[in-house]
Amino acid sequence: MFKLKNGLYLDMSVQPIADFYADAIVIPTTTDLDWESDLAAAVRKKAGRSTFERARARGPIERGEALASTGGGLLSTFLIYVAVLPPYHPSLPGKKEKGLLERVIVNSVLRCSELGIENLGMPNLGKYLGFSDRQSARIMLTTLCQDSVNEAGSPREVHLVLENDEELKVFGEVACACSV
Amino acid sequence: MNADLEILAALAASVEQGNAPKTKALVQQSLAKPIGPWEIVNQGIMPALRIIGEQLKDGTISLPEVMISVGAVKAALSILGPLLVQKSASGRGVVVIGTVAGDVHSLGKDLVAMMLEGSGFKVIDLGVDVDSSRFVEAAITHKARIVALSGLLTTSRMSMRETIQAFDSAGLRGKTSILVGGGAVDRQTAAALAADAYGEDASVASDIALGLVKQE
Repeated sequence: MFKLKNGLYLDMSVQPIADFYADAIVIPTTTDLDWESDLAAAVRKKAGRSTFERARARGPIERGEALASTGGGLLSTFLIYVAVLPPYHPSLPGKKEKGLLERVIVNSVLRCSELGIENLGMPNLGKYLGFSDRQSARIMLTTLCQDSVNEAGSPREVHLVLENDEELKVFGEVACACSV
Repeated sequence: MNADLEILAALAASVEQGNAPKTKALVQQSLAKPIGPWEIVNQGIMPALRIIGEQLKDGTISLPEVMISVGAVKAALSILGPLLVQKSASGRGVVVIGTVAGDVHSLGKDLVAMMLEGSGFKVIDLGVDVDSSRFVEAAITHKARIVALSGLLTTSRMSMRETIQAFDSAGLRGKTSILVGGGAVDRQTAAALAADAYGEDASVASDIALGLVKQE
């Protein structure tokens, strides 16, 4: 586990985020909360279709925004959807937008502080915007290190739930530079 | 329905749905109209909270769903909070608030604390699972005019009774009014506990607190 300069704790592992236990997990989606991807399908299967349908009924949301819903059948209590793609986006990767990636992370953390939850699971969000693993790690971890991100004291811990060992290696290297 | 009422109705719906980003956007739009911050709270947020409160009592809403709606309220109050404090007279006195011993529910308490701050009270929030001695100590230290006891569980009534008795024993009842609220109590129970006032929900907290300090 790493302790970031702003006091936030960071951990990382390789596993399917649909099986990950945290107070909340983040999943990337489109602005109309209706993205067909392997990750979305796996989470929907565990959470239950009605959980997704209820969240979609509350959309659309702006790109960069984050919307919380209950986790349904997931181990996590909450799901936080982050809109990284425009609607009906048929394929990846999206446009590389550093500001957008920063916004989704800040807004995910904001939803956590409003819910008062302690720990958050987050995938490699940057790759859905076309960033390499290293670029994504730098942007995500620099954003998570900001003092403003940890002002509310919630969440206390962010867990990066990665898809493979290569992601883990890269994120681990970048995390060393950001931690105390 | 005029435009102001429409936007406030949309805001209430957004809070009820727990849509935090939409709630913030509607609050911004309301302020830009301009609709006053207290009107936004009373007509755009409190109606949603009453519905959620009823659903919670009926068991037709889960606690995570309540937390999401309260998250939307917090999102709204992140914008409205400073404006509510600005528009209130300051120096109404100190309120000590907490959830009583054995109970860790804080949602209602947090809302009441915010409403009281918005009304110009200085609020000392002791958190959750607060025993009677901490309430007494805080009331003495901060010269509290009001102590607000919150609880959701029915067992919290016993903790409330114990706390009220502690204030009696410390000779503080003349100086400090005790307000009780939360799912643990109703008007009848509050009277049986010999509380000075009962708050049905956060929306009446300010009025009750202002009424208590005017009586002095």
